[in-house]
Amino acid sequence: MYGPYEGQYYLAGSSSCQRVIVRITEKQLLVSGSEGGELVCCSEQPELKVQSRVGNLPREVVLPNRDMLYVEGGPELDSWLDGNSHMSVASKLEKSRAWLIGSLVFSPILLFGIFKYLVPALAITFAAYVPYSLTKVTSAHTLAALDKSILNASQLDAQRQSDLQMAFSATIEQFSDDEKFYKVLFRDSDEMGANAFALPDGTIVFTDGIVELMDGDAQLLNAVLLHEIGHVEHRHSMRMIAESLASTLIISYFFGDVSGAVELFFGVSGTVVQNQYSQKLEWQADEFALQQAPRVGLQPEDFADAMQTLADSHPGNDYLMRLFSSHPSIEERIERARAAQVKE
Amino acid sequence: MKNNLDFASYSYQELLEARQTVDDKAYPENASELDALIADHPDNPVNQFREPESTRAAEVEFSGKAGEFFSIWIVNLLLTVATLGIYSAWAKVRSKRYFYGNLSIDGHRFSYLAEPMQILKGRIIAVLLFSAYFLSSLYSPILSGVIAIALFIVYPWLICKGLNFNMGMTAYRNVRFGFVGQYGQAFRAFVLYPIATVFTLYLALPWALKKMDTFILENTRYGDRKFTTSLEAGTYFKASYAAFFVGVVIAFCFAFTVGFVAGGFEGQADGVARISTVISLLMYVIVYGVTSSIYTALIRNHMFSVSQLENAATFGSDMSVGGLLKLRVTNLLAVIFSLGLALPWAKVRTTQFFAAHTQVNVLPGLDEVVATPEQTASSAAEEVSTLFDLDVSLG
Repeated sequence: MYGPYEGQYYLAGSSSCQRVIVRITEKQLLVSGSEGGELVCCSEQPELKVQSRVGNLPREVVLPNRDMLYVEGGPELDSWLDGNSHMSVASKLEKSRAWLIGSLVFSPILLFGIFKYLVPALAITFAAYVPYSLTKVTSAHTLAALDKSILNASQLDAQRQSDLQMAFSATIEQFSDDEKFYKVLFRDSDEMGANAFALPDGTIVFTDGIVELMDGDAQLLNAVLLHEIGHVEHRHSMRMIAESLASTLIISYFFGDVSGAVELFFGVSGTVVQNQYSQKLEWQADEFALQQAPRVGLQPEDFADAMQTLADSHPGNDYLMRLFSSHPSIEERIERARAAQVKE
Repeated sequence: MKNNLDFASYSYQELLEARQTVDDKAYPENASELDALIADHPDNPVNQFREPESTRAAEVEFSGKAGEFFSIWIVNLLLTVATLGIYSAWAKVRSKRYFYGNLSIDGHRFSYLAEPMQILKGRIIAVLLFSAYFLSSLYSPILSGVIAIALFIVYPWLICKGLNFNMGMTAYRNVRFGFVGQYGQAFRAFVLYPIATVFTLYLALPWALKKMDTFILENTRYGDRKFTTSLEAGTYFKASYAAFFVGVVIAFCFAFTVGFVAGGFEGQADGVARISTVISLLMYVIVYGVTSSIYTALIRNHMFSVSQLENAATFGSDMSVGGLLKLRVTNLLAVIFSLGLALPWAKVRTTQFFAAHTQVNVLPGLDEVVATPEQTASSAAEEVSTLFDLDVSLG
């Protein structure tokens, strides 16, 4: 027999409450009134619905007649209430010094591993399974939406456009196959400035801005085209989508139950994480372009020149800004292109 | 009109209607009987606002400790990460039970009754819905527009179900809370009114905010008792406009400072870019902190002072804007500089702060609250896991 322990006893279905004394025998839980001492109820362990222990809170026990008992007691009471179940395992872990230190060390390591290796690996798998017919529809819808919002018809004259298409044709033929067909479009856009981007079905859009900036130089524009083809070949759009979905879900679940001010903090860290992903994808597209350059008669030096031209038009690029921006530093990309040139 | 009518079984509304149809001169007995019943009826507004004879200030206490919660939190984090998020349902239940169990009013603790499996099912559904929405909106911008409209329609339903679940899983003295709000009212409060304020250039937005709070409060139940409230739009206008005005002034000061600093660094594009990134982040944090502290403190104080649990309790709140702002700023700094490890500490002291600024006056009627029949049908701690009791929400 253990006890007496003090408890509070609530009758089912009403807010009335009485103070009680609780004792346990080998088989039974005995509850009696704290003053009169008359027996309120007695029950055997399997009849009870016991909530697992949390911190140093009193134990919550629901009796067969749905009355509720809160009782504070020692380890004997705990082990009697838990019986053979494992439900207070979490509470034991939380009290173990080894587990606390282990959690402090391994939680960040595991989190890092998930973001660095698991999410990208899952994203690559996901991207590989998206059928081409689906990317075609996606691309058509996206282009239609962009044409309605920030893209306008190109201001370049027809002769110049067809000259450029001629210059691109060799590269396009080289990489198109039965399923995927590359094509280049020209658009005018104040918002995007000097830019080029690829849609996942192989449609590559050059803004008038970038054509002007490169002065219509076929070699430089082909270098840019090759970089964009790299994005398409590696299915980067689908990877980006999968990675940002996965990291949104992870951030909202792992850190879900936090207050407003902290969401802000994680909001920022979410942006940094996603931009790190896209920086990695830019490197991959560069690498693709540098590797494939000889197939279309380009030199790595052409990339360096294309980057340099872009760099001259975008001043200001320091570490903090780079953390929040999706492209790697242009200087680094030029260096890599030059390094590839030396290797040859 | 017959004399053997049993007026005692009439509802308050029926009594009023009956009284209007009764002719005083023809049936003076009926008329006087109705008058007496109307005067004594508990739904009569006169009776509801009658000052109860013996209110008693109850102690509101939060006994959670940062160290103790830290150990729960860090083990939760490890197990959640190691199980790729599955344990997050158990983690949520454990931390909720820690906070509910440590909060007591008048010596009685709250309890959180949800089972982890219920939360897990809800989360799986939420993840699937969110992924479907995310992917389809990327698949086609047109489809995403269609889904956005669909979300507007589903949103009030989600709010009702979420409140329904969370209130139903909260118990005090073995009696559950409840939420009885219906879709139509929720649609008006959370979709229709806020959208309608667009036509007032959002000037009437505080009025819509008041409607939302009224909807939530007046549909909340504790056992068989209703919460009643008489929120005033004036306070919402004051709090919102004050928060907005102060926010704008702070943003202007920052913009001015940035301009001034940038002028000093002329020609150094790098330096300016770096400083303006830091300053705009800092500005965002400060404006958010100050405006939300003003709004939260003013509205909470008002809401508590004009709300009551019928015949059971009245409430009070004495939160100061400065106190709340200090709490939030120190929490944020601690969390950032501890790389997140101070989160449990921040949560515990936030709850302590809120508890310390809450007053509850208990009326003798609190002892007589009974659970509604449908609540007793499933006991307070018994699992309720029909599909619609799931907490469909992210986070």
